[in-house]
Amino acid sequence: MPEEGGALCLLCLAAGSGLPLFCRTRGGPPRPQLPFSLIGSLHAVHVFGAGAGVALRGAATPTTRLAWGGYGQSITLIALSSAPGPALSRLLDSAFSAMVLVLGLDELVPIRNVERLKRELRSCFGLIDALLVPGGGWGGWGLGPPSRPLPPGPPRDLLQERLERFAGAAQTGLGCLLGGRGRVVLATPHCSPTVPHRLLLLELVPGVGVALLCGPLPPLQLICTQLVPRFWGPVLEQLRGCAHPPPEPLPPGVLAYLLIHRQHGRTQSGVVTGGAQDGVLPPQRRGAALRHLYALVAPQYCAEGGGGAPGAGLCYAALPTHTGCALLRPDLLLLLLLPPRAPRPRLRPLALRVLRALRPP
Amino acid sequence: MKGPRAPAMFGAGRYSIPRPVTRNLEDLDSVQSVLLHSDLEPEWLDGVQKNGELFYLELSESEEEILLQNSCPEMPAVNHVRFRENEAEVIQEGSRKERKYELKKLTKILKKKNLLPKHSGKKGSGSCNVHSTGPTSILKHQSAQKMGVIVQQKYKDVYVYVNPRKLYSAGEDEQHRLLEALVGIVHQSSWSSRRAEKQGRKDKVVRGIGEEKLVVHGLVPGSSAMKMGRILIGDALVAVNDVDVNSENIERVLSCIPGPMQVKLTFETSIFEPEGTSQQRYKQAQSSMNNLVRLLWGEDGTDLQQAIQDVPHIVMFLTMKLDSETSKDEQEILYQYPISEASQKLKSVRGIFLTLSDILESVTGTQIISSSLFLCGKLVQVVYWKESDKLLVIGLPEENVPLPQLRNMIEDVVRTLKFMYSSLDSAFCQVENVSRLDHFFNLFFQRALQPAKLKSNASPSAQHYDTCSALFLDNLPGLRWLTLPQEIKMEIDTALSDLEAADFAELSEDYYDMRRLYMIMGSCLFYKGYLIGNHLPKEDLIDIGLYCRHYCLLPLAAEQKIGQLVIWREVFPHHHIQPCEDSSFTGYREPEARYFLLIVGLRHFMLCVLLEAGGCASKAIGNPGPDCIYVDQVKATILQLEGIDASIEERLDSPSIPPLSCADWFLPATRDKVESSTTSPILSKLQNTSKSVTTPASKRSLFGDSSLMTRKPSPTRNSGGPDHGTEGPAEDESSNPQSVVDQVTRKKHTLPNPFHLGNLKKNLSEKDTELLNTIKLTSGPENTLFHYLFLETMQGIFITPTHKEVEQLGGSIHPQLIENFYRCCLSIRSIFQQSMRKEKKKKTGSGISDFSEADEDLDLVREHGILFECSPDNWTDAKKPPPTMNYWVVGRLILHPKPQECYVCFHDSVTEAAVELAFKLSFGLAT
Repeated sequence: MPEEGGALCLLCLAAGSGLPLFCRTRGGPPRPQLPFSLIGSLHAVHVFGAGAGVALRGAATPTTRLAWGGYGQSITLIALSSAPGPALSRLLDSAFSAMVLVLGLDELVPIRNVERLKRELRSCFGLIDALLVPGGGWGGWGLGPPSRPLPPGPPRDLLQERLERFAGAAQTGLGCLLGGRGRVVLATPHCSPTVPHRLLLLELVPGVGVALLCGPLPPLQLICTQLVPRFWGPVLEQLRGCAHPPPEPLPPGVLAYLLIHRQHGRTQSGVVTGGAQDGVLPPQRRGAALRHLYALVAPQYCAEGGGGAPGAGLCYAALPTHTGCALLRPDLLLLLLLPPRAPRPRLRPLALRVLRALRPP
Repeated sequence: MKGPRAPAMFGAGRYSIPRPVTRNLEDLDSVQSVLLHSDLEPEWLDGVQKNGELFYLELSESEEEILLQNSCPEMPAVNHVRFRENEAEVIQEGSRKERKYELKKLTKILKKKNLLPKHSGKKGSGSCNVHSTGPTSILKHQSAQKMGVIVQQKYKDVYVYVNPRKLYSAGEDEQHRLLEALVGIVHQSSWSSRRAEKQGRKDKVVRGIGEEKLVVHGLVPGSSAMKMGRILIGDALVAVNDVDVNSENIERVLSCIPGPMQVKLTFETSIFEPEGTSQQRYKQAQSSMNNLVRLLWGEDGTDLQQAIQDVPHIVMFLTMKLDSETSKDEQEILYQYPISEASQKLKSVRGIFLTLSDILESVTGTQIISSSLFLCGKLVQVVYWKESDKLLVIGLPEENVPLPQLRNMIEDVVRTLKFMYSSLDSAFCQVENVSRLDHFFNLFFQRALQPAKLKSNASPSAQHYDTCSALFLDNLPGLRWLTLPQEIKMEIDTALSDLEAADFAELSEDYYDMRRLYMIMGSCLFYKGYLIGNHLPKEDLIDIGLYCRHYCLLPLAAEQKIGQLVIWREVFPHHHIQPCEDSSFTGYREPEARYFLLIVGLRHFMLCVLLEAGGCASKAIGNPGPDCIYVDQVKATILQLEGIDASIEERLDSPSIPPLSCADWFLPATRDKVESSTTSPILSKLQNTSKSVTTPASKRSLFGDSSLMTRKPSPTRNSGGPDHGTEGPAEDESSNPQSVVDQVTRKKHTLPNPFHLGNLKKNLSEKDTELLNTIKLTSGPENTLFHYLFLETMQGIFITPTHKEVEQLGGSIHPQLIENFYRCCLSIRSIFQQSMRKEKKKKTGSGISDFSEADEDLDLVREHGILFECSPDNWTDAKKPPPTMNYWVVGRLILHPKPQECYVCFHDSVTEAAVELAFKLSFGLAT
């Protein structure tokens, strides 16, 4: 699926010296590396403001948005984007978290050796690029990984128990089971470490893998040869079931959905491929439409956007091609794409039905 | 009529001092023309500035008394010259010369109506620290009679420390070198003589030409006179240590001061005061009710400013082109306001603004719109407006003004400034404008940061309504329209047309057999801040509306009775100054003309007139001040329309069209819960309603109409009940009225019932039933419309319920709903604006290639709605969950033929699409 338009560029600089540490870009017309003078100016305004007790957060022109983020007075991240989307500051935070994950906070704050750090940071590029070119379309927005929770029942309980014991044996509390197309099926608690970790990705059966964040021990050899067969061998059947989960029983008329669990930092989304008629948004553009809808709704009604309408329970936006609908709850946000001219009184019952289908009691 | 006049001819009772012979005829004629009609000498004449501008505001006498009662003896600091300079003004003598009889007609009208604009008490009203000795003043005497007290000439003593060894400046004017250098008082004799031409009747009457009075024209910065804060521009120095002084002997007297010492300066205050300084007396009036008036009079409003002192806010006009040779500190700042600690921080990072604007333009090829900063624990949004090599920057905290709104505000500021000064450059880059801009931006920030303080509504509910709607309404590209019955509209239109035709009496060209001075381009009439008549093209209306809004004239007229308001200034309506493409295409070109805005306010009326000089009228030369004839004709038009105010009030008092419901009616009140043991309000069914309508209390509270008391039970009600239950969601079941008994026994809490409303209306007569059904916007048996706003950009107007209508609804939940409504309107409108910007970009084809064509229509939001759930605040019953009521706020954007925006707030049970509401509203507007 082609990514919707807009270039995105992430700059990382050493706050003190203004030395560029790395620059990652995606999308847009192929452009040469940003000129150093520009990078210097962008950094200089941030430093200048900080000196006067003013933190520069962002700027906008009709086509481009910029965001600055200072981390521990040692790292400055700058993002430039010409794509629609919510606040870029979350992208900066996610990128910094990725750097912390790989290198550890101590390596980054304060910077001891810039040249060495520059080399070491290369190991984060994979993660950061994944944030910029999000697989499921949401990573870069700081919404959390795409997920596809298993329906409640014995298989889920069994696998959850296995996952926790497996992670415990690997001396960590952080692990998840990835199902079809890399979606999180099950997970242990949600948190972010501040010391470097190993990220282990092990494929258990075709289409299903397990991911672990763990320390240097136990060695990989031990995990592969002993722990995996011991914990996952008995549940191969259930694992295979995760590879191709059945589609959610969505009510008719829903073209696409995105469910954001605000507390767990997870998203759940799906695009219905059918229902392509005249005047209805074609399936290949529904993902982009969902993103536009999120960009529209989030700043207005989510607390982190600053704005807001306390007490708002539902909102919708009617467009010529479709109707976007958002169910607003303190703990979650459910976005729905519906055919154009969807009747207003039906929106809430429909949204509640979708929510029930996605989160069976 | 020429030649010296005996004092008696001017009215012996008023003039007690013989007037010396005037020397030239020119002078005499102008004086004559004024004095001939001395009854009617316009009070505002003294307020006219050198550049012809006038901003004269006088409250009605009752309002002034309130102000004076609250006066406090504290004398605030010096800067009272902010808004109106005290410089001698040049009134076009020629324009008056041949119009000796010009005012007679109006005089008659006025006298007949007994509506002569009265000299207010302000001129003679007591200033503190004054003692009453000396000769009786002409003006003072007059106003004293009005006040019923004999007030005599005011003098004040000011003790100033002087040091002959340390001189402040070597004055260029040899004549008054010491006065300026030693004391710090600037007196320019040339000014006085110019003044004398106009004020001859005053100055020259009192003193001989040779010994000119020592009027304070200015104060030397840093001098003791300045530091004292009590010497005011316009005061006249009459004695130094009890020695009488004048322009002849002052230097000699001052030169006698041997060394550093304190001297007593005696000032005659207020006798020659132009409007600007006479107003300063109002500084003492610290009534919080009149913050707005004080701001408008150009007073400092120190307490108002203190309240926002800690809020970071700033406006700066910066130049990006720096003169490298003179590397003066802060030379890039052409203008800034305010100077406070919080804004100092923003000022210190102006480098960010300049750099960002520069680099973003070079990188993206587009202008910077905004940037966000975090300082003093607040997120501050900064918006930019770039014009050639200058940059206008405004910063305000996000919590006070959301970014989309701030973007609208800077656009409005730029448009208003261009309307007033033709360009940003001419507004900001002229030294004499600084004090005017300070006043302008003082108002701007006061409106942005504490709108509530500027509204002095009588009722708290109206105040609340104003406060929560201010932010949204202030930036709508339209003016608040009041729908009026056809015959009244006709009357207004006729009166305005008559004025605009300008073909009678002094306004006609035949009268003097010369070209008229101005052509009236159009006019618009306001009543209590509502637009009730408009003959202006939309763009001009918006320009004038922005000006009025900025100077808070509309709320002023709504809440305070204006004794007299006269505003005159040259304006630069961009619609005329910069003819659009279309007009040049058709071969028509706007004439090279100059435009003047004349606003006259009387009581609750305000009439704005746009005048054109040049074109088919004669060319304007110099800076013409307000022309009496035009002012008087506009005033006469208002007076002619005075009769309709009763009908307008009636319209304002009558139930709203379209009818509205109060949100509280859909919720059982909590107090009923406690009191009524018989039935639970939640369970009480709709059957109650036919009984409950018979209680007169509830009816009166809404309609005040006794004829409604004789009504028969409703047949429609019975049939309507079941329908209602089936079609509405579950919440509807609880949307029932209070019990009847409560309404009768507890008058305090009487809330009109929604079903009463419907029933009452329905049962009046067959005709009325039809009427209600046609005016009611919502379908179904009950009216479920809570609030609405309809913006029609073709005509530049919007309609929304009036203050009275909202007040009548009352309720405890309803105000929250209104607050929510306007908050949502803000965000919905920002989405619409985004949508329209995208649309525009697509049309002009300047879309950035980064966006694929297909993606753009994913942003074209046509309708946006938000569903809210609310429940009573003070729910006391722990056993049952509080009842809830769901309502929608829906905004719709209609792009064709011209953009229209419609915002409605209604109960969840409404089934029809908002678009239908929108269309119904627009039809309602058209009629």
